[in-house]
Amino acid sequence: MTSELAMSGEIPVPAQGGPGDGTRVEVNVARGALIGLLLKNLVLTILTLGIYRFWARTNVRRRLWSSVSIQGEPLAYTGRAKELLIGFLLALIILVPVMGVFGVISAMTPPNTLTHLIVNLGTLVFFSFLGLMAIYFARRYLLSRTAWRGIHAGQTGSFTQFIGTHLKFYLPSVLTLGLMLPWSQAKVHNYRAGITYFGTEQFSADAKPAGLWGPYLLAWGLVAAAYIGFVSSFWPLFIYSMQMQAAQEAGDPLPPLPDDIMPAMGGMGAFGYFALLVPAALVFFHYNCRMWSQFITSSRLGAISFRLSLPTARLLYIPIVTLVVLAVLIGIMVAAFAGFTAGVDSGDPAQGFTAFLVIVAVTFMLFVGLNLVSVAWVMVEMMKAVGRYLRIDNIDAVSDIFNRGRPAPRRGEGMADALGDIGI
Amino acid sequence: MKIDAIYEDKPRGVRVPVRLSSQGDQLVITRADGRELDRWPWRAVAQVEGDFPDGAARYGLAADAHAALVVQDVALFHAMAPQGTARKRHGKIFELPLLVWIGGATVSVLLLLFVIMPMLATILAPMVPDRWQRRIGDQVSSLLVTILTDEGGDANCQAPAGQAALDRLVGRLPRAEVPPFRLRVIQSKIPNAFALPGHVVVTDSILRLSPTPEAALGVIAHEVGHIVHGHSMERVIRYSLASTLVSMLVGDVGGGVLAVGVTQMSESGFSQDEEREADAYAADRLLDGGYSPAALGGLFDALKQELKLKEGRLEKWLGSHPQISERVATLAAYPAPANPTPALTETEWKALQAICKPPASDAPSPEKTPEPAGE
Repeated sequence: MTSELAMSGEIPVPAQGGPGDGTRVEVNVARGALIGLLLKNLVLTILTLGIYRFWARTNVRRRLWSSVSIQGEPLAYTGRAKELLIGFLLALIILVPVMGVFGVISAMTPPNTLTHLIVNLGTLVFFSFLGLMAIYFARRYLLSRTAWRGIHAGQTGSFTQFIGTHLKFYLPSVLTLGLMLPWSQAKVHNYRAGITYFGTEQFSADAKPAGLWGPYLLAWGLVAAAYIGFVSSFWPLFIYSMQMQAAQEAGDPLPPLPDDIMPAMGGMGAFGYFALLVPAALVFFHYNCRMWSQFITSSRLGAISFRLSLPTARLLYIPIVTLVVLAVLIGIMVAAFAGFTAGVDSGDPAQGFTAFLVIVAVTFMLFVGLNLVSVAWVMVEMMKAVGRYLRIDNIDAVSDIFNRGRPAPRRGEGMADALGDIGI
Repeated sequence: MKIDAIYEDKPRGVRVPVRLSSQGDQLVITRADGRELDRWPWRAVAQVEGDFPDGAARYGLAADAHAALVVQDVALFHAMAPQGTARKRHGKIFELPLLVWIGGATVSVLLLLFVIMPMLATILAPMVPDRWQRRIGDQVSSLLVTILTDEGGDANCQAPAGQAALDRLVGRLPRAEVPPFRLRVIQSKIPNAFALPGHVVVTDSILRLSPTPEAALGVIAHEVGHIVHGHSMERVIRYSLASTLVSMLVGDVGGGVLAVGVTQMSESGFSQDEEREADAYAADRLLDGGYSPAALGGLFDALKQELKLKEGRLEKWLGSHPQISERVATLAAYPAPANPTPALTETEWKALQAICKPPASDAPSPEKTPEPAGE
């Protein structure tokens, strides 16, 4: 299957922009059926107070995995919902007491005090450890339940090493307020590739951050400018609200409202700084396209290699449509809240209650809508893009790969599930 | 030492001839052409049970692992393995039925929500230092007062005549063995009252809605009852525990709407019990003073009329307070003292009801006097 050209490394790129020779990844998602499945899952999940979500997630994964095929052979998801449920219940046994202790300590300490701040900071650090642990187990589970041609993937390495390595590589990013992120992501990608296997073959990668700094620093600068602009324009208001609270606690009369309290740009104009986040999001999308192209291209599976070249210009419609959808949803939310405030201000309890019900319903609908869009559209478009622009070289080497004797973990996502939203 | 074996890829039914050797604590599996295929830790290697058509022994890392080694010469294999390894057998994996898991989980969750967590809250709440409780009370009450007070309304009504009447009314409540608290009246259209550690807050509209001064005394006594029983802290702890459990259980369906609802449902039962406890406290204090507890019931009836409260099954499950009719009936069942003297004179009562908006003669200056810090 492998041509001389692909092996030589000098690949003439065809006029229509495809990445040339090599094995393609075919992606065929029936979007209508996927939306139907997502809606059915939603209804059943609500009716069962959330317990159906394990079956829901398993069904969606089965469908998505099987919609991706290489050489006509689809990927298989072999996980079972029961495994997810049991893993979750076992994680709860550990997590409920832990979360309970943190919750009670936080509830018992008075707000706005140093003690409270220390407690919150400690909680944050503790939960980032737990979060990394959850990622380790979830990733291991997901890989072990993914198979192609009957061969299962998997993850090696211990979770202490996993946590230690992530902390080591992300620490420079945390200390520089995110400036070092491309370096951290490259290092972490290489580490993760190294602990990932497909059958008896181990992945490897030597990704480097070179070439990523330009778009990343531009996006970072735009976000920083938006944040500084926003905070500084609301600074007088923030100071005033602190004074007001102090006066109220002491029972003193409220301090007079200063004249120049509203943001300099004229009232709510300060929110204009948020406009900077739009170009930031687009530049960040470009960064991600380039990052994944470089990272995947630097990865190997034994003699098998990968080439990915995501052209930002052709894919830019994805973030643009997402931003428009988000803007519309935020608009609806703002309108609903305005209605809610009006209903409460009317002083009529019946009207206030109706307004409350409406706001709950709107929040719920928006959440559902956002979920549908992010899975059935954004994710599917990204999968299609990968299918269009990814090429696999020397795939015949897979005939030399067999299933591994390592036992697959029986459960694994419980912790991630209990800690937060896990997506699909 | 090297021995020949067959590497069996079980899901695919592929068999590969391999050579086995031992390196420290690792079993090294090599292909026929000398390339390494995999390494297994000796301590996890054990015989896999089962009936195999070729009659040869299988060794693997787990009973359900995807690959196994078919070993003809078991004695040689054992000789190669380090001391104390490779002699065991992987047992069958036993799996509990799904219904057992779900049933066990349901029982544990109900036990946690309705027995263990409330018990913990009762034990833990008194352990919070009074100073901390007061600080939480200060913060939350200042927030609630800001929300409840009418726009441009007075957040601390102190018209002299009204204040004098209030002092006289509250003077009828015992202060011994009651944690210190600051009582204030705020100007608000919403007839309401609440208690937090160190604070009792009453709106002027609930005073005006009260048919008698005894009813107003009952409201204040009810709130003091919450303070005496330490309900606020218990509620905070119980709610934080329950919401932690429920939000984890329910997941993120609908952005947490479901989690809040379920927590509220489990919480309402306890909060209704606390309201009954506070009602009982108020009734006892009214009786102590020689007043009829039914006076408070009169206010509840008025509240029901004013707010057009519905009493359905939903309200019973989700409501933080018991049904009004039940509360009125409970209060009416108390003995009624004969010939009670009114708690306040007619003039005092009028002044108290107008504590936020005193008639012109009562207010010497429209300027509010700054309230002294604390009490």
